[in-house]
Amino acid sequence: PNNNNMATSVEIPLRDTDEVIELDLSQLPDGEEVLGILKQENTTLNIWLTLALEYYKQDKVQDFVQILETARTGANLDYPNHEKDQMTCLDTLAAYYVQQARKEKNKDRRTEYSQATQLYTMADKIIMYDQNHLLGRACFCLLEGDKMDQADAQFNFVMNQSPDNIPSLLGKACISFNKKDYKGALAYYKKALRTNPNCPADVRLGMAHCFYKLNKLDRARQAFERTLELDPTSVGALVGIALLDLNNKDVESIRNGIKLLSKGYQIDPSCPMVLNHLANHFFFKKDYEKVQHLALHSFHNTENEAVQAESCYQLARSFHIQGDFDQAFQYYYQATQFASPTFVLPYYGLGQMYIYKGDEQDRERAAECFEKVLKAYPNNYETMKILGSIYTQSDHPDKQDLAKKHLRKQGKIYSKVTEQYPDDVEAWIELAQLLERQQSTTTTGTTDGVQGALGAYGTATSLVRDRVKADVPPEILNNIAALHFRLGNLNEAKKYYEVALKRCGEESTHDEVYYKSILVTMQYNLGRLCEEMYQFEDAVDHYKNILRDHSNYIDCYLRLGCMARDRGQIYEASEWFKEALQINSEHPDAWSLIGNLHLAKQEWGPGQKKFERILKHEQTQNDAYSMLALGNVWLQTLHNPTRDKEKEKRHQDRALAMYKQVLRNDPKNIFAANGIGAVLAHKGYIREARDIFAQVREATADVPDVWLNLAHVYIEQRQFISAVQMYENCARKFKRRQDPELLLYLARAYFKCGKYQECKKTLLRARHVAPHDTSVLYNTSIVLQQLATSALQNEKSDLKTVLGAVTELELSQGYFTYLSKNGDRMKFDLNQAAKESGKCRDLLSQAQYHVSRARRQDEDERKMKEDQEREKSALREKQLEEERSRIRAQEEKMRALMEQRAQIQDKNKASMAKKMVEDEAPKKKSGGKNRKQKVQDDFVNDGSSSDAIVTKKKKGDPQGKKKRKLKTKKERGGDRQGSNDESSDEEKNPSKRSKKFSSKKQEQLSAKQKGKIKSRAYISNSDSSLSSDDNQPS
Amino acid sequence: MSTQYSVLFKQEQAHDEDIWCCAWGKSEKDGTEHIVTGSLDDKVKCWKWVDEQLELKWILEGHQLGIVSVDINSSGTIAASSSLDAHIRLWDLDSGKQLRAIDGGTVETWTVAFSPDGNHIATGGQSGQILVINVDDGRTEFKLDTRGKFTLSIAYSDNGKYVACGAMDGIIKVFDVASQRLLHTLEGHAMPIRSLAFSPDSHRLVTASDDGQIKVYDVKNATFIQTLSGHSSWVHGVAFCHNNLHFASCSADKTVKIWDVSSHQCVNTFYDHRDQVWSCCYNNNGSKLVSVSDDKAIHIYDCPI
Repeated sequence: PNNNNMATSVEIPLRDTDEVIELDLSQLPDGEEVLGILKQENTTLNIWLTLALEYYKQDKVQDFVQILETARTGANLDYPNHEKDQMTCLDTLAAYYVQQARKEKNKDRRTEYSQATQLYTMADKIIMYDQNHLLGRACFCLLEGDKMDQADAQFNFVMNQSPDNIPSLLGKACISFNKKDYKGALAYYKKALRTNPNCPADVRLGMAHCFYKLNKLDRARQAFERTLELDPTSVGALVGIALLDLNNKDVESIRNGIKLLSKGYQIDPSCPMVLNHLANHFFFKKDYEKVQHLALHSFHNTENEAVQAESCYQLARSFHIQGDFDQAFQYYYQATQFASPTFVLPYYGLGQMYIYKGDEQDRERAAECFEKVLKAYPNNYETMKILGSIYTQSDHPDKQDLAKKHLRKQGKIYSKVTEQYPDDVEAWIELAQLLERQQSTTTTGTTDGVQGALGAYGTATSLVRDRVKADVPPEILNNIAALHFRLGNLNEAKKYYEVALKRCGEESTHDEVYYKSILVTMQYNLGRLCEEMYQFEDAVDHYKNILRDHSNYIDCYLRLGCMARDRGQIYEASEWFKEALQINSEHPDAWSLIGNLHLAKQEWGPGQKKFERILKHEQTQNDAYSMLALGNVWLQTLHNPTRDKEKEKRHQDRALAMYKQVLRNDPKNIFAANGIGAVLAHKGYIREARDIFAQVREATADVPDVWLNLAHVYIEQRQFISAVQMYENCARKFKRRQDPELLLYLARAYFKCGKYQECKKTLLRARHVAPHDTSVLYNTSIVLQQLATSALQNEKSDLKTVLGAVTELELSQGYFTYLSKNGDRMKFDLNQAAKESGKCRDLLSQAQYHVSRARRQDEDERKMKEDQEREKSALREKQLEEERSRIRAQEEKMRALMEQRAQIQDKNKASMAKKMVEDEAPKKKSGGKNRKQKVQDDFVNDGSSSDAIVTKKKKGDPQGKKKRKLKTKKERGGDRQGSNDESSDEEKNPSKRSKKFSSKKQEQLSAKQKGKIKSRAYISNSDSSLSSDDNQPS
Repeated sequence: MSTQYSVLFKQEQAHDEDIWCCAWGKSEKDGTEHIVTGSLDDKVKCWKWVDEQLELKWILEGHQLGIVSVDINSSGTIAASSSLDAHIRLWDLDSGKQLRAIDGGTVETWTVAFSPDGNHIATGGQSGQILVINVDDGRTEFKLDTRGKFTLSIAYSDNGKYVACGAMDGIIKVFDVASQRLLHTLEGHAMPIRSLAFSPDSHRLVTASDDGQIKVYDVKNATFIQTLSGHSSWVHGVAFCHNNLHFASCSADKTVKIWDVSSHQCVNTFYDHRDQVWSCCYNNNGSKLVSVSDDKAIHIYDCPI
């Protein structure tokens, strides 16, 4: 509203006169003085305004404000159209306050805004729809920031009245730009330009920004340059061109860009944009002091959060690079608070800072930061790698699910990374480590993870070797070795460890301390490997070598102890464990191992104390292993039968309490579940126990105890065949075929289902392994007695069987007598042994009857056999005779034919050939011997095929199984029936066996003699019968 | 002579059950080579080694409850066998006839070992005492008291001077036969010693234990020389080679290993058995080795010497 003519003076009419005071504008007096005159003379408002504006023009702002403030109330309004001037007064003052407010960077101190608001509100009451007033208000709304829509409405109102109102067009452009409607903004700017081609340079600047945002960089540049032509001091334009230059990224452009920025800085040293860009430039020039100075300056000169975020970021990274991580952290953090969602660089920095801080929570926060970056840039390689690393390191024993999620996510990331950058060694290594971990966290995992990891390491090492032309770092060799170890490629593993150790020695010149430390780890690993390869001596050497230099390496003591323990050298073992305790008196593993030594020797009390000690210690008060051990101690006491029911119940409850506690801490602890199953079984809840064992067995197949418990439960449920199978599977799987304990269980199962022969064999195997074990001897005696008794009572037993039974009874009696004197009271009742011995004696006294019966029978049989044999040979002789005569007859016939043939020799050849055929035909027929031989062969085969069935049964053929199952069902019906069944089976067995024996021999020999002359079979037959005859007397 | 270790012959299904023991002898009279095996099937079998294969010569029946140990005297004519039925039986290998049955007392026979002159058999068992039995009349001539645990293994030195025995608790004792005095007690193992063997020159003693290890001792001074490990389970048997340079071991880990005495290294491992191997034995010149196993098979190996 300062469209006065270029007057050089202002006239103030004097009150009640026609005189005026003329004020020369170039020599304006003091404001106070003028104000005095204006008041005195009751001057009209328009003159106040003129004067105030004049003061403003002459930068006498205070006088300007004072005059206007006074004019609001003190000016003479007694003239037409005074309202207009009143509006001007208020709006001008308000506009001034708004301007002032903008200069104040601190939002909280912008008291002028309220003053402005007040003034505008007053003006509203005078002429609400005055165009200038509306525009002023709209601008004010725009500046306030959050009233964009209000401003938009006011601009629209003005434009409805005068569509070409330039301030409105510019305002609309500004609003559109802020709403990211760059095309719209451009349209408004263009309209403004058309309306007034001489409009200020800022319009061009606005257009330039629009072009830039629309990615029309050439047009943006043109617009910027035009702006500069119009207004060479336009910092905005300078910065714009500079940015365009800088983004060109070639040296010349960058230099140019910087030049422009410097110019901008000279024009406006407080323009935050210039400052930030300069700071960015100096960061790359490594002039961090300047960076900090500029960025700080910028930060304080703007209220735009995005620009502030930029400034903070510049500050943060300059601190970051100088190693001042605390300051860097603070500024990164601040930057993230101000930053727009697309500006994620501060998150990257912040993430790095969190990683630097390094504890668990910080790592999680770091991961969050990098996740944000990755969200904005889903294919950013560095971020993926860092995230991968974080997840690899993160360790959540309690949050396994989270870890698994991380691993899966990370796996995806790494496969992506290695796909994108197949030459990145680091990524391959990270992928390998990740796969390693994946393997260890998934219980159901196969060896896929390990194989994958090995593959990744393989790629990494070949990259290192071929591309980088460097030696593979020993750490990686160590990891590869460890993976081979896990896969069971022990020789491979050893090779890699040895190379790793060698490489370590070579590298140790670079960083002696570090390489020595990993050398120790590798040597330890190699020791473990040697143990696994059963090279115990080498393992001992490795451990002792380590201890020579690092006497605190507890694991070495523990391994040495364990090895001694496994050799049965219990005293030495406990010495090693005690050594470990010298280093760390609360080492839970050492105490556990000592405790176990006690328990193995059945020293329950001392063992118990060791585990209780572990649980007393604060850090290990929830040690699952110790609790389980204590539970097992109580469980163990239940194995010794006691009459004290109260005590039994107490011990059951104690064991149960321990297992429950373990389960509370770790609901997936299978050992605790197994323990609870055992207690339940002791309490008689067999079915429940079985359910538990079955579940545990499903969870893991690697704990032999569960297999045994399941088998025990089968026995309790009288499913003996299942029990037998379970025991046998356990023995096979865990290589415990020579474990006397397991053999005893198995024998018991066989005995229970009446399979005394198998029972006997099993017990003999046990005795072979542990001849000193009196309970094995006792059970052997029992089964011998049982077998002998049934053999004697069986009327069909042959002499050999009966005689064998007598000897076995004698043996059994001897054993019982021995056991009644030398037995172990803890294992069985010695008196019972004496009683059994008596029983054997009684049986023996009756045996004579059976022996004579069998002898009679045997003689009868032999006689019968001889008769049969005689008949047979007579028959054979007869047959041979017949055969011979037939041959003779045929020969004669032949001779006759030959003669005939000679006679008709001259006849044609065709008829002769016909006869030849006729000749041969009878020849074939005459092979009667052959046919007979065939029949015999069939016999042999028959025998061997029945033999095959027998062996199949032994192996547990499904058919055989079915049969047996039926039998056990019968057994359930009544014991007597079952035993009858058995005895009949027994009866069958010996005969079958003898048959089997002879048939086998024929089979062997015939196999041997295959292709040789058939008549040899007879000889071998008689041979075998001879030898069996031979044996009988002995 | 072969230059590398190899399996020469396999006799599958040599017995009906687990085979627990074997011995190899050569008749001084006619040079016949006999291999005797004993099994859980209660039978002792005598095989003739001819034309690089086994021929079953005798099935020697009489034992009950499984044969634990067999041995052949140095002249190659008589085999001794002991069984879980507590009897020792002597067999004439020419005729296949039982010469004598000796009742060893309920729990007092386990390993049987001929003295090098063939006049005596040493055995032992629960009481830890070693009985030295006269072959001719079957009477116990004298006893060597170990005062220890169950005697699992016994060996005579080839010069006839020593008897060594290994016990359930891993203690090894060496006696002087002439004076019947205990010479040495070796405490290197702590688990059952199922086999031990003197070198043919009587200088060395090797011991096999359930701890999976084999130890070598100097006999004269009773000094420990070396521990050899490599078996992954109990070592069931050891046998010395005629050349004094090698010995063989067999184990529950189903392998048979050949060791070099001076370097203490395993020079060969046979993985051919399908179940635990209980016993192994060299022939008289050390060019062949026999092993028997729970897989019911007899294996004969070619050994370079």
